[in-house]
Amino acid sequence: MSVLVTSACLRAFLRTFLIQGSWNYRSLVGSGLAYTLLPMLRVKFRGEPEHLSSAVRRHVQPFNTHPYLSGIATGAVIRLEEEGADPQMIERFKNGIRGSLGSLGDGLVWAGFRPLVLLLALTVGWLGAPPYVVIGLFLILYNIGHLWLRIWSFMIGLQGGHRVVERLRAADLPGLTKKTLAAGSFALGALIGVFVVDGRSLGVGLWPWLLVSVVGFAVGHRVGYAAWRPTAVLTALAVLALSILGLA
Amino acid sequence: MVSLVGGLLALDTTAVGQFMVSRPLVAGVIAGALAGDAVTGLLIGSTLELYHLATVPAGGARFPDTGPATVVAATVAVWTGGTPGAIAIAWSLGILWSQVGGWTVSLQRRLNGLILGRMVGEGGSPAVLELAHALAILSDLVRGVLLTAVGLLIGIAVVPGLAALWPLDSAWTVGLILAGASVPLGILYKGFGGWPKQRVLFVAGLVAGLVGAYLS
Repeated sequence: MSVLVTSACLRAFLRTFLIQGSWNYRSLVGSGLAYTLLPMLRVKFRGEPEHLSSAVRRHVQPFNTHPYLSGIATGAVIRLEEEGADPQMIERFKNGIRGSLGSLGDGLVWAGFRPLVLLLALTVGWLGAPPYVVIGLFLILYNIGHLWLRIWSFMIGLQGGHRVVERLRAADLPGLTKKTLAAGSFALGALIGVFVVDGRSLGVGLWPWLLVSVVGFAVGHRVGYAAWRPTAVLTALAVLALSILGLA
Repeated sequence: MVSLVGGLLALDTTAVGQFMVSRPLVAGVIAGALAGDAVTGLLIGSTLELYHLATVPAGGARFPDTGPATVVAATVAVWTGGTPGAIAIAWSLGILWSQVGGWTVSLQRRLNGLILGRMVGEGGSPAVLELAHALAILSDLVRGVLLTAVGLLIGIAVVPGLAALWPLDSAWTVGLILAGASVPLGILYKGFGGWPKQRVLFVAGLVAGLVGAYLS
């Protein structure tokens, strides 16, 4: 790779941190993907403004991905554009990976890794650690995983091109997600255990809240996400009502 | 100053980086420290976090905007004295304000679509695309600043009066909030696989937590 291309790749990688900057209901992160690709497209189509505009128009089309795995799409499309691949083939490739990048990332990061690290930090905090230790622990642990995933994604995309799907399959992200969810279950149990013993939360003197909590946990487990918004809003409104009514 | 922090944290949620400084746990401590009491900030942040752990910002679904809402809740709780009443009412405001924030995110995304449609359209100019992208990020910052500022104004107007009427002591206040949080924690457990798939590790964690808290 020339210095110019390497520099463009580095700038494209840094732009993946802004890929959701113009998230919208028309193209989702399509405009963001085009934005991340621009440094490379400018190198590829230097002195050819018509071709550059044409490439931008192609890449602002609807696209979706998890932000941390967006490097896979960015890197692979950079490789394909650099190799002069047929635009229709690039479009087919993007359409082929966009669903899986979204669902893999949502499962691994949003549903697994992020709650796991938050649960660990919450447990440490509830055991009495100082505030800065709690958020420092969370931010360091979380962002080690976050940044590793971003760098790894971009590298396998860049190296794999249209064969990145095979690399992705070999990485077995669904297997990693399963392990993360299992670890999350352990961490959740530990946090609840701390709540039950700790006198400041649901300890022995507060057994009525403990009983309510057991029922609430069972309801949440049974009903699932549909119960989230009603519970949050009703609890907030109940607190306000309790104060207004002055109930003891 | 506090509103600007809320705006910067709003950017972290989606538009810039996603380093998770916008999570309630982190935003609560930051806002609490700025207001003069990081410990109260941690209490507000961690109890709001328990409710938001189960939310997943997948696809185009509307999700609560936690950063500015937590800044509002933690700041108002500290400014109002950090009493059980102040914590309870500010916490409620934080929950409700995160819903309002989610609604403004939806509006913002519609606005982004209009900006991009108008500016980029069929032209495909790279410079215009970069300008539209930067404008979208800037407007998200402005949204976060305004959301935080309006939330603070409402909080300052409402919380002190209601906090004075609050009937529960500190332990019962936290107990009430945690009892409500049990539903989101149940939802989270279901997302992890629930009792059918994860009962062994969940029970092992529960025992570890009980023993660890007892010994500490």
